Amino acid sequence: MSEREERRFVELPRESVRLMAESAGLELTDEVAALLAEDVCYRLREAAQNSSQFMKHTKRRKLTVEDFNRALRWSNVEVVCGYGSQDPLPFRAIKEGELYFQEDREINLVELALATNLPKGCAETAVRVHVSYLDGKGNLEPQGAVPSAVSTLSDDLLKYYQHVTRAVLGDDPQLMKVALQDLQTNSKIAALLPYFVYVVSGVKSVSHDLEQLNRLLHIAKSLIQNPYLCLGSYVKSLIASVMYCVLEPLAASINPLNDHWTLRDYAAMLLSHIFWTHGDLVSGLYHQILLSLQKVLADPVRPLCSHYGAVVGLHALGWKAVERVLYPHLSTYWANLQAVLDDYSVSNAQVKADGHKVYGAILVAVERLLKMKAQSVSAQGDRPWRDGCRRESSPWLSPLQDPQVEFSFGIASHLLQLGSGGPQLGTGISADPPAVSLHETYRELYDFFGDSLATRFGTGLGLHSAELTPPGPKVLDTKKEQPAFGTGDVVRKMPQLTANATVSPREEESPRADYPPGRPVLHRSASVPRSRSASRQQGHRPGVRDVFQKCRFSPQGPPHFSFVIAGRQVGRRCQGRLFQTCFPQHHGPSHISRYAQKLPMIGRTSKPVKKWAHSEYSLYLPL
Amino acid sequence: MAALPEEPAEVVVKPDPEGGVPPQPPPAPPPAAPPTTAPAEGEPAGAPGGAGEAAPPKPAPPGPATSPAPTDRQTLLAVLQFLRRNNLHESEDILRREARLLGEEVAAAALSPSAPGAQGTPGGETDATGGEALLSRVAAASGAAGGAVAAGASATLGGPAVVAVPPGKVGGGVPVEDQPDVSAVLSAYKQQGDPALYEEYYSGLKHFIECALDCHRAELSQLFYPLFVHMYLELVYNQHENEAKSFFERFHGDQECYYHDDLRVLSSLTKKEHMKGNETMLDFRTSKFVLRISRDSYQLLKRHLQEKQNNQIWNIVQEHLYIDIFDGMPRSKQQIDAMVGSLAGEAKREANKAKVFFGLLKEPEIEVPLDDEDEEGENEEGKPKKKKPKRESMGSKSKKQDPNAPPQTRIPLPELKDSDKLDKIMNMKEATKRVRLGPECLPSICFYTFLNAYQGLTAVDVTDDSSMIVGGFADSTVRVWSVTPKRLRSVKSAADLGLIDKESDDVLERIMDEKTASELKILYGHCGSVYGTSFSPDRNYLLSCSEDGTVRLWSLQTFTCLVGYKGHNYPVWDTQFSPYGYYFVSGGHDRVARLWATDHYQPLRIFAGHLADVTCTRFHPNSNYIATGSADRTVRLWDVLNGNCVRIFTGHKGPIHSLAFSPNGRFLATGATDGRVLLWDIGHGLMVGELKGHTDTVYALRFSRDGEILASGSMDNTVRLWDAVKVFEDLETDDFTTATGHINLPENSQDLLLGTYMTKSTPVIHLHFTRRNLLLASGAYSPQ
Repeated sequence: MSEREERRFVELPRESVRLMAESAGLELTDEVAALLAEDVCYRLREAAQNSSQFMKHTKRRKLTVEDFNRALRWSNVEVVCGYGSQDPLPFRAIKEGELYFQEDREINLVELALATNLPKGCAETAVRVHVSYLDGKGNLEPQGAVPSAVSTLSDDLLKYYQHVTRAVLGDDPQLMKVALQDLQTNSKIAALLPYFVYVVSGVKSVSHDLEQLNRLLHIAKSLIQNPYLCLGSYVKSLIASVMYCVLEPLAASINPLNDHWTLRDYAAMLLSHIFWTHGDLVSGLYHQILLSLQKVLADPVRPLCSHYGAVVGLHALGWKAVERVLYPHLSTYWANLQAVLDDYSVSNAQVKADGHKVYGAILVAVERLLKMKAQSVSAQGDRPWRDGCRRESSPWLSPLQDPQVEFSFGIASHLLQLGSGGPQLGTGISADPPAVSLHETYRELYDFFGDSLATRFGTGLGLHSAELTPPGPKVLDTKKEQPAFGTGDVVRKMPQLTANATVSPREEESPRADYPPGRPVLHRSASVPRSRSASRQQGHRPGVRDVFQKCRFSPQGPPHFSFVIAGRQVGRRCQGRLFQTCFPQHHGPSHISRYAQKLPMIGRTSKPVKKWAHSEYSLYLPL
Repeated sequence: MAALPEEPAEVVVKPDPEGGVPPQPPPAPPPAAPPTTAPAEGEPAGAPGGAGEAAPPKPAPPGPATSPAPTDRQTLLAVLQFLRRNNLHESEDILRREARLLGEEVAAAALSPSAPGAQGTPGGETDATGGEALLSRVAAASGAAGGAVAAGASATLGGPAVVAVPPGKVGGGVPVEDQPDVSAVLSAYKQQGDPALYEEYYSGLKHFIECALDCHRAELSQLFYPLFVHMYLELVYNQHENEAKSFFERFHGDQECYYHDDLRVLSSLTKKEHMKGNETMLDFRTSKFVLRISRDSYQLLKRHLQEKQNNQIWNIVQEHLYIDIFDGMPRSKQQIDAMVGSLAGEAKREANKAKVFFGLLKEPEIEVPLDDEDEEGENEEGKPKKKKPKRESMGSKSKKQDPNAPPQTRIPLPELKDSDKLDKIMNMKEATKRVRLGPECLPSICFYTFLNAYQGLTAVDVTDDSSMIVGGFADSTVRVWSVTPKRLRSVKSAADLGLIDKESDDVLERIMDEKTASELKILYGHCGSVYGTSFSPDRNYLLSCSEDGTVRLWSLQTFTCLVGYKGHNYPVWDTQFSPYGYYFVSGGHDRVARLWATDHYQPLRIFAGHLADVTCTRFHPNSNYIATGSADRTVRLWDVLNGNCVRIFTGHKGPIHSLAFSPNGRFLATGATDGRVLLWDIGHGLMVGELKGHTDTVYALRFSRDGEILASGSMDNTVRLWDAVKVFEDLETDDFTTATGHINLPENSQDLLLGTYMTKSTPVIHLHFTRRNLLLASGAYSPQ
């Protein structure tokens, strides 16, 4: 019985039939509608069965609309028009109304008709021969990523190709600029695409030359941005090249003077760009990229610069990626990083510097994670937490695409070894990350970063506080002199760097020693004069007493805000260090902001202010 | 009936009309069909015709059935009828067996209106017969016409006599309106039993079979599927929708997995109204499902059904099934599984009894000129002495007459032209340089990849000398490429041709227009997907068949369309030139294959009998036979001379998509959507091998030039090579196997697999061995 149910066919509800009848001006009784519905279903099944015959004879695996129309035509039924496009139709669902529909965008025919730069026609069908197996043995043709012969090139194109490659890889920066610009806008270079892709894949052979790498990445960028190019399966090849720059321990990075960090940042940015603009061309791409990044991150043998690449890559792919891969991985990774950072030997100096880079990158990534998470929460307002997290799940993980689909970029071992979920490696990424509340995330992250995390929010709040508070002159002016607060002599260092920090005297002072073990505290001192812990019970270290401090300066004048963040860093990693942060509204280039500049900054920490608009807001909600 | 070798014919068939004036009258118009047979075909067989109807020679089973004289027969039929009316089944059965009459003849005779018979069966049976007669009518017609030709003075395969069959009535695939007896066919289900009891009946039988002895169980299990289908259809026809559904749900899981495609169609069928247009259903009704069961098992079944008074099932067994009883040991499950799977059960044994001349025709003796060039070539290779014996061996081979070969003039073949002779000489020269293949020496494989085909490549063919390749496309175009440095040129226009010096030595070169030279020529003309292409052996013509129902003949001199052959009213799935040119065959959705000659606008033969689309067609190397593969999961071999079906091969579990004859003409390889390749011995009508390995439809099959290696290409992006010599060596051809058709195949075909070769995401749709045994494969690159 149940088996039968599984193979049930699609059935039309009689309501649909009645609706159609009504639109044709007919009234149908229930009975008639039911009969009609059943008959329509039968006819549909019949047509589908017939259409599969056309598919088989066209020697295809995929049933097309054209096949179905043929079947209809042969059974003297009008064909269905308007679905002949090769592109997949995005199928969307609105859960609330249980409504499913296909996106049907309007096309401006006038614009199309009058377009001056029509893309060049598709490549002509051609036959190419190659010896595949000699005497039944071996394959002479290496299975490269780029098919060796795709279409014949005219002389003009060949010339263009030579000129452009020469210009880009040559010495004249002006010429390079022009060439790249043209590459970005030229509508007639479709036939050259495989060649350029091949050129870009040359990154593997010039990994010692940052300049060349940079230029190749620029070519990739131009190709991606060219609206007339259909990258198709070349996306994979491009991504493989870009990933190479992001992740591989490039030969150029041996010399500490080389700024390969910037290259990695750029490549990561490019990666996200490709992914966002062309990700739909390859199913399961997102999943695959995440797996690669995770693999690198999980491999302690890899150099720190690779880890750095993985982190910025994740960061570039969006906060969801960070949450899915970096966040759950942080606890294991942290131990390694900690070891590097805590090693003060001279021989370790270079590695340590690299470690700081990674640390900074992680910090930026988690900061964004927190902010975006908070934003997504606040955007949903009244929605419950978990529901909110789920709903946000990335649109490109739609069921249409199989996350298990595997392909390798073929660039390096770590990409080739991607197992399906790789249970032994623990590299599997759950498609639906466990919904962790913002609060918990923050607490967890705070475990690692403590103060420095809060610092970053502090600066954020300052920029935004105008919206939150009655405008006070002090509040708005972030450039003003910082007020002295609390123990002004507190050395503000990243907690991880003060490995020798001992228990601060303030622990004894704490008036609230009986508080439940505290987690990060973040509160508005204006509304709550005394610091208060909003923390929750913490699982793994219940015995630790936490320290809470009072506000170090009394509110006066117009109300203003400040964060007070304090606590003991709990967990093995932090050895119970104490720290405290209290942020008033910055009244100038506070030492905090100055400190923030001392942090190992990466890439684009200076986000447009707007983007943060809601994040601060929401930070208040759960605490 | 007409398989006798005829007297040698003198009439020479003109090979090809020059330039393309297609409809030339045949050189000697053959006489019309003899009036004795024509009326019998003309009138609907189901019409009440009294007992006399059985008198004209029945089309049905070729073979024994030496009918008694009409009067005796009538008496006999009357007795039978009486027995039936009184429910004396056993005696009736015995008597019938004694009289060696087939069931349908009895039924046809029993049609007197005064016989409303027990359980109302006679009417139904008559209709069933009508259906069968309907299908075999065409074959009969062509058979009769073939006979007429054989008897007549002219040996030309020709014509009007055959075409006289109304094309609309050909095959079951045409709309229902064309078949006046469809409703009659359906009404066979009218008999009523208690619908609630159907499940009980079926499960009772199931229980009985499951409890039977092992040796019988396997045989009797064959009954499950046809009984299930017929009982379900009966329920549906009598509008017991709910009972039908629950019946289906309860028992469909018991059916063998290879019937699931049909079951899917069946399960969507829940209303009487739907039955009318459903082709699968009609197939079931219009043909009896054939089962082969040993006598012991059959007796067991009969006894059981009679004990249980299970008339419902007994009726179905009698009316809708044809049980081919044999004496001897029951077959094992493996033996049965190897042979079943087709839409209408196994082939009847007598269907494969006709003699087939599978030998090759004697090659014409051609003087191989000892030109200097040849000499030099041999000298360069440093083995001038070997040349002579080789040539002698070639000569001696062609001189010896194959005992299995048909008479040289069994069907008229075109005379060799000078250019053909030249080509033959070239072929022989190449053959001397041919690589001897074997398990130790596998062929090199070249892959012709169609790039940017946009999922539209549907058919490929390569000329015998591997100089041109043609692709048929879903966008209705046919594209011809030259794969040698010699580019494709058309002949000059008529005006320009007038100017050239016809006496000059290089006139053949001068008539070509150098301006038109190109690597690729595109032929436009079809208005639907092209599904099949075939080069003529002399490389002057090209055939293509299409969804638009036409087969087109193109000239490769002018690259224009010469003729559009209309006859199939539905998509034509495949076409192929005869190895001697002039004739070609096509098969399509209308379930028939047609034989054409290039200079006739109407088909010479119509081969009807398949129960579903004819998906692929191939000529036997001696051009006297045609093999067709069908979506009904059978392969049939047809005699070109008289249009008879001489072999029916069952065993595939999916629609057949590729066929290949071995170069010696003895064996046939077939590939289907089930991914298996089956090998058949044509002479004995037996399955001789099963090659398992492909995971998707096998679209291409080809034997190497000497027949040692079978190459198969599939949708699963692989080419596999199989050891054909070994398969045919192991062949057991003892008398018992030959007599019973019971075959024992080795479980595993892995030791026959010589190699698996991956392509780069390119399904393989054509394979070709060059004259030197280099394997050419081709397909369209289809990125995922």
